[in-house]
Amino acid sequence: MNTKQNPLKRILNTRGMGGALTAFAGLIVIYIAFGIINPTVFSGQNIMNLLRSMSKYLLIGIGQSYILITGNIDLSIGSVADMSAMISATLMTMGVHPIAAILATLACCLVIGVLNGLLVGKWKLPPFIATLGTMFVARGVAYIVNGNRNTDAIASGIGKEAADAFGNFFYYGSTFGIYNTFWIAMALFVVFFFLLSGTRTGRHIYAIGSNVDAAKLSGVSVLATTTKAYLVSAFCSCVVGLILCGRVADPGERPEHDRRPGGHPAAGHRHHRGGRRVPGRGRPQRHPEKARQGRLSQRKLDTVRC
Amino acid sequence: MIRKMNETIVSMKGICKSFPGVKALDHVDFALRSGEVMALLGENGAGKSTLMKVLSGVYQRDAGELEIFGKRYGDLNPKLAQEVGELPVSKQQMVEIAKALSTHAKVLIMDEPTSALTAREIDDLFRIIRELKSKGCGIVYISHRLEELQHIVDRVAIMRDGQYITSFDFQDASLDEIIAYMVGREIKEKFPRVACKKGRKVFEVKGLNAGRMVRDTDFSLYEGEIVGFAGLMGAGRTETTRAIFGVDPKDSGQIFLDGREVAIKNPRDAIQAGIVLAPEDRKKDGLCTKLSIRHNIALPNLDFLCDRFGVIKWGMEAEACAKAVQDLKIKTPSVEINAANLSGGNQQKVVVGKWLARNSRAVIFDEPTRGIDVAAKVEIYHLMNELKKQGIAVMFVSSEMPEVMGIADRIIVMCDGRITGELMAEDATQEKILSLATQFEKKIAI
Repeated sequence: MNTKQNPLKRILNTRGMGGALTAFAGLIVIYIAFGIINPTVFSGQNIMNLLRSMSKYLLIGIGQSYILITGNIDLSIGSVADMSAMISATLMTMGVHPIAAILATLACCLVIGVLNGLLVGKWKLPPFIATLGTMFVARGVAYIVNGNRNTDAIASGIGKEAADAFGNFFYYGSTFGIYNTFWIAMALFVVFFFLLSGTRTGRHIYAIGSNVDAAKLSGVSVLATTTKAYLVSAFCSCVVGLILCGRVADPGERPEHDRRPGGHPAAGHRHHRGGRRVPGRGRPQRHPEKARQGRLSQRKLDTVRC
Repeated sequence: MIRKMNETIVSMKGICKSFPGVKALDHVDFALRSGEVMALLGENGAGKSTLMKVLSGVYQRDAGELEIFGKRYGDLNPKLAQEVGELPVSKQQMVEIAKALSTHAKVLIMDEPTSALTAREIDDLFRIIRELKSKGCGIVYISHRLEELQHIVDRVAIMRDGQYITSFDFQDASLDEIIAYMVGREIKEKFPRVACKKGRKVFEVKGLNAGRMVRDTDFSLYEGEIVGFAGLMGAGRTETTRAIFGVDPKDSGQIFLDGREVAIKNPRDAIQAGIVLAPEDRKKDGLCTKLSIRHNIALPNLDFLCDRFGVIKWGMEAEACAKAVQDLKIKTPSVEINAANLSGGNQQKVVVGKWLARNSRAVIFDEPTRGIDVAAKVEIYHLMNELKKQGIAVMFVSSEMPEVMGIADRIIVMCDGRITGELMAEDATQEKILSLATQFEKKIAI
């Protein structure tokens, strides 16, 4: 009857729009408030940095949305991101080509996704328990793979050029004046938004989230759909891990603003050939402060919980 | 405390309530006296439930006055909920009833209280209702089962399309007159029957076993006939439909469609083969209530509404939805609203409608008319007749004997997980069906 509403009204009536607008309004208020306290907040470089750091959360949010819509939860995402960073970094320190390293990392993360899907969709474990388990599995894998090595010397494994390319692609480089990290997140957002709203898989995800019995009786495979949702979540976490890894990949000459403690972990020792090291033995001499900055250790990962 | 009888305890005047796109209540007047059971009748979507939600304070009214025990209540007064007890439709109805009684409400609303009760429990409920009546409670009783009204109801109020139509003492009108008021016209055929020539065998079940409730089941469905499945509650009819459709696992048995055996391990296999099931419990099994009508109708049909990459063809989807809404006369402002916001009868139409968008060979209806109004029932019957004319096998499970006898061409009776007999519609009587429906196995005493 009243299909001809004015477009603004129609957008406002979209499901969930109220919540989104409220959150966005809150964000603007916070931004302005902090900008008044410290005007640096309004600077272009800060906006760039904000966009880059929020991209990780955007990616995690995409994955978790899929899971939440199916009515489940995924606690493993943080650990999968860690695992992804560890596997990719370790492989590259060992000299594996970045693309091969990315593919291997992706495969490992997707295994966790399938495992989550099976545990929840087939063996009917409560998702909270199942993904708590895979969270520890992923964390364990991260420890084992790393073998307590320092992974701050990716360039020594795959060469400076490849390490530069990797770091630039995921973290340091920018396109049209915005960091690539943000573009990666936006691209994946568009892809997964379409997958959710415009495809059969998306409809199935909504259906099992709304009423799993009715979905089953409509011919939806609960196992396949749950697994797909967990795969998306694992994939997004994997990309976040690669971004974390890109941050420590030896990046070559950086503009001045990036060379600050914490901002650019590898700064200052990029000519250093670390190589594979066993703790306590043959540790190269260098400034302890810088060494700590450059290391992607487990402790550091624990602080980048997503 | 014994109240004075026949004193007006609830008075609603000029109540209006609108939802986006629908005027649910249009200046409705309603009065309830103490010590009476008032049946509130009307088709699905007439506004009965909305009116009761205004009374119990769940919904805020747009206009009108509400007085309870002579006290005027403003909008959304939480006190309202204390004065008015409400009985929702639910599985654990006896529990709900007990809960409502324990609050000592003086005004009690019962919305389809008997739809999930057994005959014995209904007797208990009626006894309780009479007791409450004698204590001076006012009870609003909403039900589509007009036959049961005679046992308890004193007065009748009728609503249609969000408007108050009339009210009168129950004994002053016949059931036919009440129905005529409800639908605004006389229903000529309660059970429209279409004569068709019986054709080829379409669907056959051989030696189906699935747990205790489906044992050694054999039957066939032919073109041009509707096969009714009668029996008592718990006779195993729903379990049979679920086993056929692949929802519950089968222990043994074969299913043939057009002479070829089909392997059905899950509902998807069944749907792909051309067998569909409109399940008994629409809220639990039939609908994704939090999703739109469009999503619900499209859900089982995404196999042909998508291209080969799984991308939805929006045009085709919109077309299929529009057709289902039109064919089934689903009353809704748009296909984008949530299925939960539809009235019961319209929800049932969506459940049925989502299966008619595809070409199936066998359609199983499990209690398709439960809890829906007379006019919507007739629409469902017409639909089954339409399928019958198209040569589609129709299996029709129902617990209401008059409708099985009125619509089905052949009646299969089940008891305790087995088929105990088969009758042609013209030979069937309630007595014959009932005697087959109670042929329990002889238990051998050890």
